[in-house]
Order: sequence, then C-alpha cells, then structure tokens
Amino acid sequence: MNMPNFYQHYCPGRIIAGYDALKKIPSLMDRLGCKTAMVVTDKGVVAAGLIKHVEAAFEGADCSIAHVFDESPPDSSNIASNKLAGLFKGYKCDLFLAVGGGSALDTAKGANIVISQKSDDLLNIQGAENIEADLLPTIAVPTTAGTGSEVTKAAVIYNEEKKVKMLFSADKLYPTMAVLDPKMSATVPPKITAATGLDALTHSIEAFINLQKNPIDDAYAVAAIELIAKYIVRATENGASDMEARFGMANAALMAGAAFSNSMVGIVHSLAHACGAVCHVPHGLANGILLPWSLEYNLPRVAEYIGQLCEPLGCEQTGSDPLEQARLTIRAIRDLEERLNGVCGLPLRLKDAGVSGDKLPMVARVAVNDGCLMYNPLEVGYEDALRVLRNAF
Amino acid sequence: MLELTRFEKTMISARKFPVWRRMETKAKRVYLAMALRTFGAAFEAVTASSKECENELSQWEEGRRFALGVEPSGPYITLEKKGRKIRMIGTGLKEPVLSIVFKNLDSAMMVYTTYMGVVQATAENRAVIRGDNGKAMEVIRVLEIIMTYLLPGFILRKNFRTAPTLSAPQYLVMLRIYVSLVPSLVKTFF
Ligand SMILES: [Fe+2]
Repeated sequence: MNMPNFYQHYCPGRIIAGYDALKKIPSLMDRLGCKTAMVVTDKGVVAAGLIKHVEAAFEGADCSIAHVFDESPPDSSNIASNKLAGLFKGYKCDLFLAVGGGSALDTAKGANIVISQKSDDLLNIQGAENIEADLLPTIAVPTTAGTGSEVTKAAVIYNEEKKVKMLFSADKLYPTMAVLDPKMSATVPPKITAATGLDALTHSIEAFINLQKNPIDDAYAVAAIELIAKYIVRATENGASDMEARFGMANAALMAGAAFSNSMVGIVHSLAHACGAVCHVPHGLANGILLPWSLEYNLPRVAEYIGQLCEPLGCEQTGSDPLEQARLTIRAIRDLEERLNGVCGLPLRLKDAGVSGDKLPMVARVAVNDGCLMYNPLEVGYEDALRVLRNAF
Repeated sequence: MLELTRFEKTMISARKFPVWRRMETKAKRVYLAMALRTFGAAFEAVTASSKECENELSQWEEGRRFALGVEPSGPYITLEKKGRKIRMIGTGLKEPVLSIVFKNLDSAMMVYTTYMGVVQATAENRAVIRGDNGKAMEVIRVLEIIMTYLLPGFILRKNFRTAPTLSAPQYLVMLRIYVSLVPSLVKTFF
C-alpha cells in the first residue's frame, strides 16, 4: 500500500475472549472497583435464555446483578435511555453490562451519557463532541457476530420527539471491556448468522479500501477477512454445535469493528443505510447484497487493494494484473454468498430482500447524503448510486 | 533516511528567524484569501453553466448559506444558494448554517494548491465540517463537480477522488466557465 500521510488508531478496551469468558466478568468488575451491575439487553436475548449464562457467572461472586433491563428497542431510543438511567441510579448500580447486539449497547451508552452529564434527558445533551466527563464503566457482551459495536465509539439513538436518529460519537463512548464467549451467539438463527457475518465482512473490506486506510487497520481487516472466509459458512450451517466457528466469527466481528471504527466505511454502508431507512432491509443483509456490486464500482480506483484481498478470502493469487486479481476477489465474495444462499436461503438480490424497483431512486437520493460516502475511495453521485442499486436489484 | 532538498533545507533555516515566520504566515494568508475568492467566483461560474450542478442544487433549500475557510482567524468566504445557482455573498463568516474549515493554514494550503481534495483533507483530520451531515454531503458533491471543471485531468487523477470523464459538450461548458470566470473574478477582486 501507499503509506498514508497521516492516520490515527484508537482501540482502548480490554478484550477477554474464550469458551467460558463470561465467568471472568465478576473478577473484571472487581478490577474496575465495581460491585453492582445493571444488565442491559432486549427481550429476544432473554427469551433465548442467554441471560441465564450471565447470571450463572455471578454465582458465589462478591459482586452482583441488581437488575436486568430488557427493554432496549430494536433502534435504541432517548426514552429507553432515560428510563434506564433512572433505574440505574435507583438501583445504585456502578457498571453497565450490555448483553446483546448493537442496540442494547447503544441504550447503555445513551443512559451512561445522561448519568455522567448529570442530566435526566438525553435530548438536553447536544452534539457529538460534547461528551467530556468520564463515563461509568461498561462491559459489552455481544450476542451476534457482526456490528463490532463492542469496540466502537459510536451510539445511534432514535429521537422519539423529532423522529430522527441522533449520532453520538466520542472517545469516551468506547466500552471499557468486551467479553467474547461463543455460547452467547450459539442460538442465532442461520439467516441472521449469515447476514451479520456479511456485515463484519463489509466492515473489514470497506476499511481496507477506503480513504482512511492505514497499516494498523489493514492488519485487523485482513485477519478478520481470513476468519470470516473460514468460518461463516460453518457458523451458518452448524451454529448450535460448532463453537469453533462461532468463536472465529466473534473474533472476526470484533477485529472488523476495530478496523472500521478508525478507517470508517464507504459506499456499501451508505447504500445499506438507505435501504434500511426506505425499505427496512436488515443492515447485514443489505451490506451482503451490495458488497460485490459496490466493489465493482470502486474497481477503477482501488483495484490493487481489492486484489490484495484475494488470498485472505482463500483464493490463489494468480498473475500480476491488479484488475484481474480484483475480479477474482469479487468472484470469491460472490461464491461465498452463493454458498450461504444454498445453506440458509440468504437473498442475493435486493428484489428478494423486500425492495421494490420503484423505490430505488428514493434509496439513491437518501444514500448520496449519507456521511459514510465521505470515506469512499471514489466519488459517488446520484446516478452512480442508482446504477449500483439497479445492478444489485 | 528522508533526504531533504536544498530548497527545504533553506526554508528550514529561514524559519529560525521570527521575522521570516511572520512573513511566511502573512504570505499564506494572502494567498489563501485570493484562492478562496477565486473559488467563490468558480462556484458562481460553474453552478451557472453546469447541468450536474443544477441537478444537485435543485435539492437544496433556497438561501442555504455555507462557508469555506481556515480556523481560527480566517480567511473565510460565505456563499449562498440563490435560484438555480450559488452566489458568493462575501468574505468572512456571514451566519452560515454549514462550514467546511481547515484546522490551520498549512492544511488549507495543501488543498488550495490542489495537492489534495477536501475529502482527503477531512479524512486526514486537516479539515472539519460543522453543521448537518447530509447538507455537508450535498455541498461536497457540488465542490467535487466544480473541481472536475476547474482542474486538468492529471491533477484530478493524482490527487483527487473525482473521476474526470468530461464529454465533448462538457468541455464546451468548461470553456464557457473559464471565460465567465473572468468577469466574476474582476467583480470579486475589484
Ligand atoms: Fe455495518
């Protein structure tokens, strides 16, 4: 790669990973000087019986769980965050233990902001860079392998009053620790396993090719891609019993998160965000469908980088023509997605994922104003976005 | 080991003298003020002639004000959407809803000497965008269109992410823009 003139990398959290990593939580709390945890999760995680694993880890320990807050909505909101903040103070907790996907963690981050800013309403806290006070410690336990939010500094919280998404992004928002335990993702259904895994693949690939690419994030991205290529089909096919595959995917998602929280994402995420906003396509699924088409769009600019991902994806490096090599990479991604389609029926086209053709112009309109495009290696206009969407349709 | 050119060595020794440093800062500020005004004129000229800009601007609310400049003490220019085009309303910050500002003179110099694009500058933390994210993207798209008309292809390919693929009719527009830049520049500078 050409060395960047400048870059920064920050990934401050401690990572604890292993087949029984949950058991370490009480001693981790001890190290943080905390005694009383507030578990933040959602109804789906409770129904899947995953909170029982967490509670079991606290048996005979000095510290305890004061309350299990299971009301994190699918899109975390200011109302849920405010409520959680009130409960947290009421139960005299000193640590957030977020168990779930991105939204449980976002709700915890929202409540944490409210408490540390000595407010009682998240809407009073303006602007992303305004978080200067230290936050209370947070331990993140992801239950899906995809978002990587256990190592990212952003929180997206829905403003119920104005009906808009608020983005908070500040260094203080990095979770204090992340605990990866493969049994926490063992019950994720095949289709969601595949879609969230493709989200992680997209994070790594976009981080690897976009404008803020740098050697440290590249290392994380390549390692993540290797693990995903090795494990995503196994985790989808045999997720309940293949703990090695689950653990591999959990590690991959975390590393992809570390890569993109510094290098950021690009056109795939812009289009996927727009598909989500206009047609409610799940995030990982939209990313998976759009990834190969978007790489084709970026090909004229970053063929060399795309080509370098051929080996991590498990194909042989042949010849020296970067364009040829890049096409092989894209082919490898399509092959992987076709195998996932065979295993769990994962849609490969937008039309099979709930997008209707007449909505494409609107999706393109929304996508071109998405901030992620700032980091895409190639400029993306309305016509370009529409073309990629039509190709993927 | 990084080899310095003789020019760079001379510059480094010159900077030891405070007088020179002050002169250099002053010169940069003067250059940037001129570059920004030229850019303002280019905004006016390109948005008046380019179809792509017109399409983009049709999505903007009337009267949207944005500023370009250098923190903390300028120079700045403020521009505004008026009808189908962008008008420069003057130097300085004039209550913009959105601003794209460089964190220091050197970073601004890199962009206004076409060494890198605004997008790359933001990626390298040299520039910040203040204001609504979506509106910022709209401004940046117009900015990138303007670059394709103003700069030769080889610079765009080397230092910018814009893919310069102007068609024959677009070259005619480019010519028209260069011609119309003259009166805009005269108006701005005198
Ligand atoms: Fe994502």
